[in-house]
Amino acid sequence: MIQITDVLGHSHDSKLSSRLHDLSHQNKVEYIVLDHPNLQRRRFRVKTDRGTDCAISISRETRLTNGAVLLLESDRAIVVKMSKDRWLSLKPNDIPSAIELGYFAGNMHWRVKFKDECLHIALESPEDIYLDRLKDFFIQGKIVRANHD
Amino acid sequence: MRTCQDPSINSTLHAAMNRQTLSNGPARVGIGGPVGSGKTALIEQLIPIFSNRGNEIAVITNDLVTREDAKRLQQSGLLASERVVAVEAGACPHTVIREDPTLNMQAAELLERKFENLEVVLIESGGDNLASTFSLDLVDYWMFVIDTSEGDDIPRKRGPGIVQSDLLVINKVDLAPYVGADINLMVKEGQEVRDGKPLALTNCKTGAGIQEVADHIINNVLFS
Repeated sequence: MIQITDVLGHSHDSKLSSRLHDLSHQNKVEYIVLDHPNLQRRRFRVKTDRGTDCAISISRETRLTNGAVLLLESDRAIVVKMSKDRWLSLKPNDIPSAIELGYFAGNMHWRVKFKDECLHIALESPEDIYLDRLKDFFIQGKIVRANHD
Repeated sequence: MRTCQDPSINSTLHAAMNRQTLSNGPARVGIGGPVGSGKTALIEQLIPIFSNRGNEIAVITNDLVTREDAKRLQQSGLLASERVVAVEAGACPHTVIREDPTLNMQAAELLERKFENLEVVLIESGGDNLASTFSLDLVDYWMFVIDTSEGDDIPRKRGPGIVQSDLLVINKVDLAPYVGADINLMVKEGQEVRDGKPLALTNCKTGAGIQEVADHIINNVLFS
């Protein structure tokens, strides 16, 4: 188990990027893949994509970001990679439906964004959990699924 | 992990190993769930386990307008009363563990300043439904406690507390036959909706299953 207590910097930092570049050519960069909610954690246990067991305990003032460098040694680096968000995209059929959908999503504490007349819900649990909650909206023809870019 | 046959030396060893991570403060563990599910009873069972390991512990309780849970723990004699801090939410307690956890963060920081070797802060909060979740700005790890007498359909109702918690605790397993709850069904459906995250069965009156809950905390945020 590797204990990590600090973020060394970002993979784009000039002081770190060349060393990371060299290590990546030697296939010696490991990644900790985290989704959006788990990026908020400061103290947790996780495995890298190569199976290295990491115990992370960073200060409460520090935040993990996509590209945060947690370990940089001569023969290994560990970098945080944020997994791509999954979205459920919904297009309301009229303004009252849009208002009702927005109210409902807020009441469910879902993380959302608005784009192209659609409400996009970040999926932080299996998709069918969200679809079950929205069943009446679909049955009543208030919303349809849309594509997310 | 290094271990030794002598339990007293082991607990000292555990504590010393964990102090390596103390520079960034103690682990904060959230314990949420509906009123009456057994959160305070779970804490009463967890305290001796951490004390026996040599881990210094403190507790923050969240109540609507009283300090009942804090008083119960202070009167239990399980830990010094100054290690129990009450937060009065003034509203449904989930508002101060999720939307704006400032009061709880201040309480945790107060305890951290007061007890410099503190290793675990347990933050208990009720909530009158299954939607209660903890902000990860406040806690490092959190569990959601339900009990069999609420009905065996609770896991498949898939509230955010059920689905998103790091650990789902199903308490009062001894009551299941008396209330017609099917524990196997609760476990099966709990596993189905939790995407592989663990759950534990407990009886906080007898202590059954508590060590497993403690082990999840130890493994995930105490790192030993």
